[in-house]
Amino acid sequence: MAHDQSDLLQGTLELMILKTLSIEPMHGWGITQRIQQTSRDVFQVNQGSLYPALQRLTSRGLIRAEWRTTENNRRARYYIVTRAGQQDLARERAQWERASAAVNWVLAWDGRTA
Amino acid sequence: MSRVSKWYWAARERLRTVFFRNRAETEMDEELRFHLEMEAEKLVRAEGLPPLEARRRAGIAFGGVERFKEDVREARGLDWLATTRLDFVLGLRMLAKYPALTLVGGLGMAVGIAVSVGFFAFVGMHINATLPLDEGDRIVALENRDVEINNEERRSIHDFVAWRRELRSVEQLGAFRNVGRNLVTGNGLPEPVVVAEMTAAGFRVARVAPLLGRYLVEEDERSSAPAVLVIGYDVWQRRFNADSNIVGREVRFGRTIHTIVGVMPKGFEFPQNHQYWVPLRVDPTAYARRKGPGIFIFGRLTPGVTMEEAQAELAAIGRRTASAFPETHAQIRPMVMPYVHSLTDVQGISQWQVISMQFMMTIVLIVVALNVAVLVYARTAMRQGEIAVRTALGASRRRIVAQLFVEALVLAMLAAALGLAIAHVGIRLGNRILEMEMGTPFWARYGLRLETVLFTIGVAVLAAVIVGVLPALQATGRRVQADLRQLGGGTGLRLGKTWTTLIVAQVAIAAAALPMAVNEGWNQIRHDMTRPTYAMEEYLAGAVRPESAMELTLGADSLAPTSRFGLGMTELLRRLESEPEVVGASYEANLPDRSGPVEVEGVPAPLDSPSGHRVISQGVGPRYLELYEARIVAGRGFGPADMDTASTSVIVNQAFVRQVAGGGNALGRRVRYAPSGADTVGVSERRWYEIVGVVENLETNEMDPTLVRPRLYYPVGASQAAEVWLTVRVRAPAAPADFAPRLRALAMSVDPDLRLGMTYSADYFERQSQLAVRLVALILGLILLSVFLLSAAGVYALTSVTVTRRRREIGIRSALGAHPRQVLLGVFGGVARQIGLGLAVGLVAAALIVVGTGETMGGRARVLIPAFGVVMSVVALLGALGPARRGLKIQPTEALRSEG
Repeated sequence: MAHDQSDLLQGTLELMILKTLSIEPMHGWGITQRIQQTSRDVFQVNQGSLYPALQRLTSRGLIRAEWRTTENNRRARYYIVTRAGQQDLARERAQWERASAAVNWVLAWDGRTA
Repeated sequence: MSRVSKWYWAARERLRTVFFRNRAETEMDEELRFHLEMEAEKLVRAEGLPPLEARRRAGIAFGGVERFKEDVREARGLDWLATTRLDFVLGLRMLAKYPALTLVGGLGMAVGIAVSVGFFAFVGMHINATLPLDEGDRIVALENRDVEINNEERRSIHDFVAWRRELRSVEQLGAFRNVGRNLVTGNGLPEPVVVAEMTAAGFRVARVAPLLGRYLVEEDERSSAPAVLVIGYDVWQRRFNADSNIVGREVRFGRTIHTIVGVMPKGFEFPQNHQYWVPLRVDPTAYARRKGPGIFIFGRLTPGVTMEEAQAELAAIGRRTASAFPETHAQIRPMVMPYVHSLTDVQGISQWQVISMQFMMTIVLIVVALNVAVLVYARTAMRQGEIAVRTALGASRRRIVAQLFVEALVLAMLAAALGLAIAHVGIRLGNRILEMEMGTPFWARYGLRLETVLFTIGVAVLAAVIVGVLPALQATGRRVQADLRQLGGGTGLRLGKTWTTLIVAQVAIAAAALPMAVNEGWNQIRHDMTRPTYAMEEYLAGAVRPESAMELTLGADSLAPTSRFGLGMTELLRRLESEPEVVGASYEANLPDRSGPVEVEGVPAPLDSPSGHRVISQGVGPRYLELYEARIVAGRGFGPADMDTASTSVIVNQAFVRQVAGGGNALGRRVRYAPSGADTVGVSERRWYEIVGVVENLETNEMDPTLVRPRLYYPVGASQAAEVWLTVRVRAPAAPADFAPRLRALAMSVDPDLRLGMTYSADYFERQSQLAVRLVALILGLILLSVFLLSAAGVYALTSVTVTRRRREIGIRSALGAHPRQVLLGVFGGVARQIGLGLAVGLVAAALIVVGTGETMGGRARVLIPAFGVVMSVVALLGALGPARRGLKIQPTEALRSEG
């Protein structure tokens, strides 16, 4: 619970969800585990933020949900990125990279060169 | 392509959440369960926890489940539909749970809504109505207005001719007037009908083609042209059996033969509600300016011209006419207006006036709604705990306000339905009164219209905002957090100063206004108790007028009396009295110069009517008093010699003797009519009349004999009258209505031009007026009742909140051994002082109004005002009773424990 919604900008969470799902369809719990794992335990996604975010993405038509069976033979709700979601991810990702690079430049500035 | 995919999946999701709400909820639960299970399994694997403990830990980590669900629902967006549905169900439950508030608030709002909606619907029917004709909104009426007497001047044939020649902004200028005719077809009984004498242009203005034959054309208007007639569809069906060869057939109006030249299609009743049209022959040379028959003038605005432009042009013509003919037209201002305004007599009314009147009518509702808001606020105070719990479970303030709004909306909608029903009854009555004058106009749509329903919903929402949102905003304000701590004690909310002031002000207003309202109602009822002394159900009555063929022989002013009519009436009375079924017959006929207050020689005029005594003057025919078996108690009755223009004899009733002549001897006293403002006859020329007899009262009032009105009867010979109100007493057991056809045939046989209008049994009017009185009493009663109930409920709310707020104090005092009465006095002391203050202010205001206006309510003010003080105190006591009993039942231990 170290890093929850208040630490994480809403748009960032949605970006990470889209990225995670673009690799393979996944259920909600799986998404939290995958984000925690790939962020090397920096981000632990709170369920209270995850499911509303999933619902928002679904309502916007960027992902869709369907019921599938897990490898342990359980019924779970899987989320799949739609075509619109793929494009949105590419766009958001480019924007994110530009923005984070800019933040890095600002932070790396030593006061001498512009 | 991606946009389509986005749209498709988004829409699919929305539809799922709206139409398969239950499934969406189940799936959400299932998804949540899956998540918790996976989390627990992970804890078992990673930390070796027993499954039960793992589940508990997973649950704690997850946090508030309800809040989570609420967040997901909110993320769905459209979910408000589902929540609103739930709120509606809750609102219905609240209605049943608080029946007193439902009844009082609902009834009060229903009355307020009825007033507002009734006015709206009435305006829509009669003021804002457009004609159901092609481009009906371009059809306008034109009329002269006499600014001196602030009334229309319809005797405007000269102006009509001038406007038709000069006016460019209004085309196809036409005119009509209503005339009564005796329609005679074949050998049947004559039927009294209203005929439109209309210029040919009228049919072109309406733009409706005839069904058969032709409509009127300009040539028909020439005085030498043969008499022609166009009939309506209904008459063609009913009276002429839809005869397809009707064109060319002849019918008679009185003695004049007309040829039918056309039939108009179904629904055509232009210009008002007509079924017969004959040409209007406009001959300005026959009359002087502002003389001759009154006409209605109409036309179509020329394409591209606005009403304002037409008005400007007409005003310019009017100014020229006024300077050319100052003696007749100096005070005349011609006006153009929507067609309907001229016919419903609401000339010159602006849209702004209508809107501001509508606002005034809605104020009643706003005041009532504010009252109900106080009650709802008090109820919300009781539900503070519930609101706090919901807030803790994650409901936002907006969500709670929305819920309280929907609850209020449910109540307001019920009130709106009831209000609409009340308004409907009122409108029906209003229309009936209007129709007595002008019949049902063809543009009237009396059914429930969409606009009215929408407006009703609108005012219901307005009421719900006041009733629901205002208290909700206050109740969900700052203190909600604090209240969570006080849960169970329920002591958090207090009725703010504003609400308290409102309740106290309301009690004051009720105390001030109710005595007057009751006095008014009481007067109505007492007047209602005045009854005729004779058996009304034995009398048949109807107006008899000369057929206008008779009028025309007299030229100029068509209303001048005619001796042929007089001869006819005398003969009709003679024949009637020889009928075996008839006991007697006579008539009433009023002469224009015999009305208004009278001066009585030797008796000073009353203080409240300095111009003279208010009496009812009634012109009567031969043997009129005998017809009603009215006994002469002093002097003599009218003899044949009195039925002459030179007669100065009058007879008064006993009420006149008692109320006007001061109970003394009235015989031989002289009376004359006070000069009226418009009268040009000098004071010295006013005639004196001599009281030659005193007759029994023809009406009684057992409740209050002084309500029998003083009457003065004067003789009117048939040849003096322009029209008479004929009354025939039918010998029992025959019913008056059965004699009506015989009466019609007799009139016809005497003279086909003697036109008998609709006939009525004499008690018809009595029933009609009683109905109206009863309705007024009902509406007054409803308003009184709602004021009463709202006052009582306001006091109830005030005391109730006080008790709830001071439970702890009551508990402690009881625990310390205080006597219940003492406790109550302590608790209610403040409330009693406030209510007492309100009552005192109200009663003083009522007394001041009585002193200021001098309206002593017939001396009853001294009794009524204090009586209302007592009644309102009792209402206040009743309002406080329930909460007081609740206060006494508080167990000290419980009150203290719940606070712990």
